[in-house]
Amino acid sequence: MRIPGLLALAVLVLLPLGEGPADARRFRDFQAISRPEAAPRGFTTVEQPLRLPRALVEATVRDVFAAWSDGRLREKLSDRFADAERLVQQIAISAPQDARIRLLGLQSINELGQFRGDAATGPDIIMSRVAVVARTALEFDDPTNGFQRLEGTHEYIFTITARVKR
Amino acid sequence: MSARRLILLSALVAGGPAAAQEGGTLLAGWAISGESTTRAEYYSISGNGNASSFPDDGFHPFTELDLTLARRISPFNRVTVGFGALLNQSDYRSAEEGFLLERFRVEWEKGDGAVPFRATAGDVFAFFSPLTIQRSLKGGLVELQPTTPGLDQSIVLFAGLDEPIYRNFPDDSSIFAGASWLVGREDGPSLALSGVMNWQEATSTASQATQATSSVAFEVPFGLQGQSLTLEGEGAFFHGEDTGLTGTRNDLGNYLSLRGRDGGNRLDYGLTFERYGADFDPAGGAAISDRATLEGFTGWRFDNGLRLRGRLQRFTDDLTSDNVTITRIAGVTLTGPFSKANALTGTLDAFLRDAADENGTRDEWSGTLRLGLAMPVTDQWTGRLNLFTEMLEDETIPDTRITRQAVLGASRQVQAAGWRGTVSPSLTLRRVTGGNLDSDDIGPGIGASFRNGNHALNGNWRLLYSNRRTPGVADNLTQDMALAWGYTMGQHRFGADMAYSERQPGNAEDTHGFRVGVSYTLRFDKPAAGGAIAAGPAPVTPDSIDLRDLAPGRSLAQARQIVSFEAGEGVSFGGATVWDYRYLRDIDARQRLAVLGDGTVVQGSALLVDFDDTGRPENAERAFQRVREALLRRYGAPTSSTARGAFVADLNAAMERGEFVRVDEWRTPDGVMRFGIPRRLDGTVRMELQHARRFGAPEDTLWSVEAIP
Repeated sequence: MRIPGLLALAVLVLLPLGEGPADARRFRDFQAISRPEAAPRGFTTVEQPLRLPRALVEATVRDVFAAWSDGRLREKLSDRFADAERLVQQIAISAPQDARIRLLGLQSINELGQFRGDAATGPDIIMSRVAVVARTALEFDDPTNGFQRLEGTHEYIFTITARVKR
Repeated sequence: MSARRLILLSALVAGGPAAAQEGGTLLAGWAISGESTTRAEYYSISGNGNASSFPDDGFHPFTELDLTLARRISPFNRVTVGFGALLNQSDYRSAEEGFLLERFRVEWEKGDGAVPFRATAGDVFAFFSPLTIQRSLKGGLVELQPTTPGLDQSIVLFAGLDEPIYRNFPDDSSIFAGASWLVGREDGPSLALSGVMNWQEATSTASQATQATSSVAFEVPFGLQGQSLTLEGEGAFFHGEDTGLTGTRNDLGNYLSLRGRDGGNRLDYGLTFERYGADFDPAGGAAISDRATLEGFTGWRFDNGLRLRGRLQRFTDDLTSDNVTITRIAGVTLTGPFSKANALTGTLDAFLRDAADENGTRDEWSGTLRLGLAMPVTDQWTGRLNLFTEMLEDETIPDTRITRQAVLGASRQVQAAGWRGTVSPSLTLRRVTGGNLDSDDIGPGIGASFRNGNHALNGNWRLLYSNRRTPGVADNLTQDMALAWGYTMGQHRFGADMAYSERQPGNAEDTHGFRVGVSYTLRFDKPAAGGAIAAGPAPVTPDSIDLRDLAPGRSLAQARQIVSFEAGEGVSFGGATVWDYRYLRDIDARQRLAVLGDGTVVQGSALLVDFDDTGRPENAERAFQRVREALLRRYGAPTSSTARGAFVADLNAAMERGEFVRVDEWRTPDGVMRFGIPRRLDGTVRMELQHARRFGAPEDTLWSVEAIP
């Protein structure tokens, strides 16, 4: 099956990776064994995941960055995003009002898991979890130092739900 | 064993992987990587042999093989086999002769079964906590991770012998076994219950003993007034039975810590309390018996990347005795870019220490100031200045010993006749007064590190003349010289090296030691047939720097940008950029971060941690353990761990003789991270954590970043 012309239904953004490594606790830590993700309700796990078109992933990233720039990030964050309110609050406090995130380029797209809708949800609905590494630039005008551009590379984990065109 | 057998093993080692590469279906699904090295050394000693760095003369050859086989059956099911073998006739390489299996490890990880598990046999690293066990063993370890929605669960069971090699396991081997259950929520609280047993048969120096240590450990992260806080603690109960004098012992060990940081990640702080009873003595742990510790620290990061940190420590030793010793330390450390305009970076560490016991048999205090600076002077020259001064006052004698030392160094990038590299001259000046020894020392030295295509050349010469001003104490002159050449041709590497050491005491016979060595290394990599292993997520720019993100193969400009964003501008040393940066927040010794590579791609990265004091073995060992524990906390149990020999006053000489090895390795998606103490041509002893594509065998101790003095 091919997936050209996917229609993105909804995009939920999950965590940019957490804060940097402080010198952590003394006793042993949990080091997860890679395992298949449990399928969400109304979906079954796809054994051979379909490849998501790069254009769809890129559009998703741009959509989220636009939401960040317009102060609408909260609506893109998953319910499972740890401390989502605090993140949004912190951005509102620390980011300049005119700050924008620009996508410079996508480095890699890794599919972490894919699920197909059951009979009730619709077998043409595909839900994918993807890890996307993107090069970004945060741009704003500083009153003292003029135009500022802070480049960086970040990993984002998205859930992309799409309808497969047969 | 004859040299012929060594050559035969070399041929087998070289031929084995090649045969596999040529399409043997047996290993078709396996990715194979490894290397074999055949090395021969000749030593010559003249004069007073007892004072030589080289204890044995003559011919010392060996061949070693380091091999890893990996099979990925599915994204959630993989098997890895690794071993290190040695065919030895060298007194320096190992105390054992003949064929020797030094390392062996099989790991099977399966995440798609009813209960995801990880099973390891051979060399396993048992780690629950410093209070229970933290030790490399020969045995088996199984980890089960039952799937429970919203909870992380891990059950670990292990058993093994505390032995360094796979040969002639003695009947009196120390045996460990343990179990641990960890449950927690990601970014939430977690709890661990652990138990460890140890059985020790009677030996010539110790009686038969059995121990059991059980512990409860917890961690609770929480927020308060915009601060991110974490409360962590562990309570452990020790029970020991001994057929000797100590009999039955029961005692407690407790640890509690609160650490935090502000939302902007500028301020961090922490308070730690530890108390270990006189009989709290787990054989596999790292706690110091009969000691109480109270430590506090706070740090602040300035806008320009400079970090200031203050610390207060109080150690109470021999806690339950009639003669308690109290040691108090107060110190400040400033690390990072001192002047952005001049690209001046460095570390300033100053502390006061006071130690006294109740009976008055010990009463001393000391003040120490250590300053390390580096700065580009011109486009070609980088200057270095290290100042050290210490005043140690012993009130019981009374006596005051003052040490003042300055090391002035420079590095110049040189390019000539196709060779590119760095030449680093230095001059050490030291004056010691008091403490029954007045001495003026002067030590010139020069180091060089060059590359020309596939050739690599490193050299070092240093001299130290000690003018003893104390009557009756003779002057002393030592001189060391080392030269190493390597040529890489595809998967083959040829090497030749020499070392010369000379000691001329004014009142005794001179000593001259000479070593020459040649080596051949074959490296091999065979990817698995039927598709490459899927790449993991690409490295990510984190909020804080992590060596895992400065991985070999990634963009050099980007890697430098990551570090500079946090640590300010770095200083260039030939093919490396170096920053003074407190990578491990709990460690007060000078730390420098280096990104290696002079093209467009990162060749590797390194953390260099200085020892405050290598002259006293117990201090060096304590500093090493502290850094190692910080890395274990950050990266978990290492994939492999090698430890040989005890800490001694001259570690470099011990490594030269093959008597001391400390190496821990963690496999990463991009290569290997190695931590340990490498041998350096310039004789400097320091700890290094490196991330590189690969390393040689742990016993080949010459793996330091030579280009950075």
